[in-house]
Amino acid sequence: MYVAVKGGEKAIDAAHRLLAETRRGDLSVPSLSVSQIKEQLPFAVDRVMTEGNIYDRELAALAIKQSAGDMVEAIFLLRAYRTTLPRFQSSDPVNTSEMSISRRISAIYKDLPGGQQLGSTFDYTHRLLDFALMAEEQSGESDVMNSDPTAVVSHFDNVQQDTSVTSLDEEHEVCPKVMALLENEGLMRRELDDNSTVTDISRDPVSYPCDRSARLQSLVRADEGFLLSLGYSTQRGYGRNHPFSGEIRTGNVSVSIVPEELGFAIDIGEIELTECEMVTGFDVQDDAAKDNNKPSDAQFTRGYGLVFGAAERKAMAIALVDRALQCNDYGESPDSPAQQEEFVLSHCDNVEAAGFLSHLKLPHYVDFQSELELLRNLRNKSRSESQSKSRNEGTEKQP
Amino acid sequence: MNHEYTEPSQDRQQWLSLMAKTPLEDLKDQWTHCLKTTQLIPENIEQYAQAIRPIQTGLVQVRGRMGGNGNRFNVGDMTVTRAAINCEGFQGFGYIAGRSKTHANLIALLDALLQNPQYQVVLQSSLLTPLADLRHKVLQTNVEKTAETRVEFFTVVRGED
Repeated sequence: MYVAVKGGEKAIDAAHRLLAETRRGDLSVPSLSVSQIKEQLPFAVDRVMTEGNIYDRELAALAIKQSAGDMVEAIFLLRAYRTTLPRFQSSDPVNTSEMSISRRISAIYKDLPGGQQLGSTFDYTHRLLDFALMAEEQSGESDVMNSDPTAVVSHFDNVQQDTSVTSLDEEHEVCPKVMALLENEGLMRRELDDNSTVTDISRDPVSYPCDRSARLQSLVRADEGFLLSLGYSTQRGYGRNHPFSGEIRTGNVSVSIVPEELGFAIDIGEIELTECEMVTGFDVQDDAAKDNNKPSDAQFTRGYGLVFGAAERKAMAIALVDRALQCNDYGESPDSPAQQEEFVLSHCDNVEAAGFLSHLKLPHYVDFQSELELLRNLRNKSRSESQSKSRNEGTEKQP
Repeated sequence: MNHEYTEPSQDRQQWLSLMAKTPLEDLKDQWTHCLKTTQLIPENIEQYAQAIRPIQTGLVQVRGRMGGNGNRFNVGDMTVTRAAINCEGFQGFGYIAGRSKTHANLIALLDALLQNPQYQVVLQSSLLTPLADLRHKVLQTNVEKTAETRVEFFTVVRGED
């Protein structure tokens, strides 16, 4: 039973004023601007966009500023904002094979068509605190590493320019997908488009068992920490699927829509995406085995992760969990947490989880009074029972 | 006078896409430059344009494909702003990622002007071509920067055999 509480308005207002002070911190330190957050904390912005589930770098930066760096709170703010906007339509599916690559690696082939490009990465850094960054801040110098920014620009002035507008289609070198190499040899299960309807968990609540489109959409907005741990658990043997990073790529892709009034597709801009394709343990295709008792060919299976921004760890974790959740398709028994669809999907959203956790902070006075009363009654009852029992025992011993 | 578009125009598709991908500041600069240098389009052309509907910010659901080319799924939303105007009988539309009403409105205006045979040639050469060059340059810079991080890994044989 819920009983309403009243009052506390003044105290709540005062608490919010204090929060504003906490957010601002020491007034002698300059205030952090939204554009500074957007430009200088790009990975925080990426996480908030992905889990807040709106691609808008500026809004995500604002949410981070407002939440004073509490990421789950920032994600909550963005999700709440989302409900205030009308949805115009869906985009055409983004084509990640035409991504303009800013990072692309593979752990399964060292020589690839298109090459491996590390891009900007924390990999291979020494993870030593760089006190030079602190020194630069104190001396007010910029921490741009390239001392001569004009050098890059002048270099590219000489690049031969294609002046026709139509050149936009071939505006960058296309890097072929690593998975296609395995597919072409028949060693990898192909992904096919069977035109099945796309579930939208933001409109219809998930019902179990659900399809892979609902799973992937849920995993994109899922808490990174939760997915990281679940992915890790599959690596340690709880739902083992023997993964290799087939390909990880980050870069910009065009988003195109077909506006009703135009009737043809136009690009509305570009968004940065990170895609991870995991090659996972092989499986014997059932259909092939049924055919005339022919020996069936084993093929690698796969897991897929796609996220906003450069959230690589998240994309990898999604790919691992996506594969674990396909266990039923391959006749694997769902014994481990990462393989249990309902468990994973109904607990992965940090806005939902934090909401339910937070409600424990709200007044439960009446609820708790009834528990107290119950406990006291129980104790009184057992005490009086034991007293009467010992009295009975006492009378028996007397003669 | 009302000009209906009968068939999807490849040119129109290209210019709408190009202008949406051009940062607002660059688009504004080039447009101002174009007005000043060509002297063909009246500088107060915006006053001849009427909004067909209010400029609106909303969401577009971004879709991906499983494994890059399999079944579709919803990735998440992105903010999108759209504008629709009528200028001298031509309907122009602007769609951009993000929340800049100015950007969407300017594209709608330019889309209307670009359909007008009176201005088309001038705008192609003094607006679209420079914008395409600019974009090409930006993309090239990114390609070159990333290419510097191209890595060659070597496998080293261990053991005696």
